[in-house]
Amino acid sequence: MNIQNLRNNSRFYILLSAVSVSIVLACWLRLTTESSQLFGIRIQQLYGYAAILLWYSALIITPLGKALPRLPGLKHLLFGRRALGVAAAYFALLHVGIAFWGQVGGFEGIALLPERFRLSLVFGVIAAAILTAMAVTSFDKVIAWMTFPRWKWLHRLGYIGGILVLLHIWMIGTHMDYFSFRSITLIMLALLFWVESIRITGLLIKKFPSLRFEKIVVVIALWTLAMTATVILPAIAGTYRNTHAGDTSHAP
Amino acid sequence: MLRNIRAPLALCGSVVLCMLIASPVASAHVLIFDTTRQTGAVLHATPDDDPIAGEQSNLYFDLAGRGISKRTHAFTLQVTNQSTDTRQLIPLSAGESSVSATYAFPHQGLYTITLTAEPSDSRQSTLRFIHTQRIARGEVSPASVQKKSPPSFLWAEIGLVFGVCMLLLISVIAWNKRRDIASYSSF
Repeated sequence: MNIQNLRNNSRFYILLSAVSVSIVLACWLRLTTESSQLFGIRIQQLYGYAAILLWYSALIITPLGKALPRLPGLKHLLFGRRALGVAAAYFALLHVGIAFWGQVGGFEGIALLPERFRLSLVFGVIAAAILTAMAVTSFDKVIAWMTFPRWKWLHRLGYIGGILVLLHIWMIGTHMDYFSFRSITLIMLALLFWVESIRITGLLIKKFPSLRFEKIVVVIALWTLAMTATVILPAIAGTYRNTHAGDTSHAP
Repeated sequence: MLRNIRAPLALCGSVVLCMLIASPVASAHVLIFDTTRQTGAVLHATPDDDPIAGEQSNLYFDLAGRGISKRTHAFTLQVTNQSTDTRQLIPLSAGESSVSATYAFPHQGLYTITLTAEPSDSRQSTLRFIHTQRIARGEVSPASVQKKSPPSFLWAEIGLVFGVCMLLLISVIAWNKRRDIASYSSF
């Protein structure tokens, strides 16, 4: 790839912007936060949220394109999706690095953590590893070497990574205390599940043409299944907030 | 089709904005280890790990899975004001795997929070969790009115200017080359 093509490549601008934003965030936070400890917590949180938002954007583009094939700029969005995923991996690695070495204190520190946190960190690390593997294999030469079917299977792990991230955030994410945060997360997930349901239904109809008469039923059924699983999640995964809720001897 | 969803999208956006504005307080967490590095705990302090001097802050120590509970240990919680060296024992309540207390830090400044877990089995050692909490919001003590100015971070100032300039440069170049980018960056 020559320099001229690089300057015409939207992915180049997305990645460069991601790096610049990470620098701006860190510097702005350092200047506005007196406590070094609080700075560490905040920057780790911000990088985590940036990773999630970018990952979500990368995940939703393809099914959105299937649901709305005439969406303006769809071809450009599909082209730029790869850079969004790589940027998500970049922020995820920053988040992991700061949390792991800055807050937890490395491998020695993990062994001393409460159980719930250890499990949540394992989920987070696996999700970050999946995201990193996807980022590293985002080159045309790698796709050709791996062959497209194998590469596609690897990138389908992104959905598993997404589930692990949800568990990670639910179990120890501090902002899950906010009703607004939970609501926004649910709305965004509902949208993602809706367009994915449409995409999966399209694939099912190709295999089972008779389903085309019940297309909307299949879409709603798939969406309901996904939303039910999401709503059940709090019952399965405990959070540190449950600990506080159970501690009724200390009511404010 | 896009025209049909504009109004609902705008409505959703407004709802989301209202939710963002009207939010309750969240707690955050700090990982701390005992002095002998035998075990760790997670301290949650409200609001958002940044207590406000003069206002009640809820302090929770999460000890789940570390074999420490009210059945096996007796807990004491002490807060020390580092500027005046005054110490205060705080009433606390112990759950199955957590300890909690409510405390209003009197003034801005540095405080040492010490949680001591005394085991009922004398063969085990006492665990002491020590955490330094900076209170940077709320009531200002008379002594700190003339406090020294907060530390400056030259690297952060330079980095901020550099980062913002980079973003502006990227935006300008991308805008100028938008047609070339649009024709190249497409499937």
